[in-house]
Amino acid sequence: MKRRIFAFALIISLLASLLSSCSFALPPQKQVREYFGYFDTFSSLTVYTSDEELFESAADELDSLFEDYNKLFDIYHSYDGVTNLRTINENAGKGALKVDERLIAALEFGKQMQDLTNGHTNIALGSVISLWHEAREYSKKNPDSAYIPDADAIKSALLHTDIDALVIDRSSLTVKITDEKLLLDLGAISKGYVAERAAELILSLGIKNFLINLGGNVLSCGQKPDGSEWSAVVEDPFGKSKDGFTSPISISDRTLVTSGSYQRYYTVDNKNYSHIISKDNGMPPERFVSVSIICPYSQSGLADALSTALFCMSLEEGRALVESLEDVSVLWIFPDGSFEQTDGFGGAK
Amino acid sequence: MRKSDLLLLSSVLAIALIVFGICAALYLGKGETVVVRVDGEEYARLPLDEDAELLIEGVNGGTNLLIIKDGKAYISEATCPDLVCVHTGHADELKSIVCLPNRVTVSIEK
Repeated sequence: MKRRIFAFALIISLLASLLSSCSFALPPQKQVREYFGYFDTFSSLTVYTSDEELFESAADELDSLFEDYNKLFDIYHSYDGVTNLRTINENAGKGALKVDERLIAALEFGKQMQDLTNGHTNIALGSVISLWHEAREYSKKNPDSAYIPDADAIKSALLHTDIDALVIDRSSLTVKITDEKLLLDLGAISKGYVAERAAELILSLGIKNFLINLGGNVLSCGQKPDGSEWSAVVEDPFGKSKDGFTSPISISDRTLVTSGSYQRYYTVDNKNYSHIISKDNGMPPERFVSVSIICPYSQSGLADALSTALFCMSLEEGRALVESLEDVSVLWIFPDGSFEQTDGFGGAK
Repeated sequence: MRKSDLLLLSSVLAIALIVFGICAALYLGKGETVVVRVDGEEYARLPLDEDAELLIEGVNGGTNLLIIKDGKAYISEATCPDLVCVHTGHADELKSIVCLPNRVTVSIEK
């Protein structure tokens, strides 16, 4: 009888230990949330976790973060009860406006990037960018009468791009533009900047291993559950290699941002014009087809600003700027398919 | 050792093996899977190693034709104006196919 009891006890304990080890051994599942309709692009959050509830609530919070910033940064639409970039632009030359603190912070960041990049990333370039936007939208719908903006129109728009006309008052949370023809456009930094805010949010919710993709701006923290690193490739701007221009690059705790003329462009008389505009002449630069930046994940806004700025700078100027910064690597791809990269970028093949 | 003890022992072992088997199957998974999502919601999940065709109904009536052939998944045709999804080529672990107008994505997951 004693032996029988012993046997039962053995069975129960064996089963219990097996079951518990099984549930502990259950691997974290890959959870993905995709977002459409923000920043005119596609975004996603990827987390490996066995805590589905935590993931869902984090993904919901990220959804509202995207929604908020999308409204604040929108220059084409107005939203009830929101003072956004469009409102600020419409009030250029008029009085000061009280705006959301998050918009103040983003505009301040924009000013910093203006200083850092010698004006190549300029959030006050909206008057010129809008000429190109108009021409691009029209030309895509009417390819037969496609056009580029008039040179004189560009010239006069360039006169209204001085960032100093943007006056930010931190203490009263107000913003005013003193040049009535100046337009703000955060396009050159918005995705990276918001990806950075997104990462802060996800980390604050206790998720340490994740990847955020905001319209091609990729940012990741931690590792995958098997200990391997998150990785990404730089897209082949020529579309030849479907596997990418580079081998997979480890981006754990890093961000990878690319500015490329192949992403958004339109065609006039067989010539392609990209959406990136130089502050020097108001035209799309043609030195490179893409410039990619890798830097720490917490500087995704910087990476975005740099990718635009370096796209507009000469190789030498870009190199000098990057060398003055810490922990930033770059890959420049030229129209002929050749490339240059700084030490530490790695991956180009 | 009595016969019943032997029975007991072997049944414990059998249960252990079964439980272990389930765990192992869950842990190792079954190779790569093609995951299709529409507007953020999972739409279909197909094995990458089985040839298949799937007409994905995206948002606003748009469609994308997914082809799985020889271990590769790609969009062969679509109703969207830009056809970025078609030009993307095949999806892999690092690169999903994204169709913005139809809000369709195709990803490879392990």
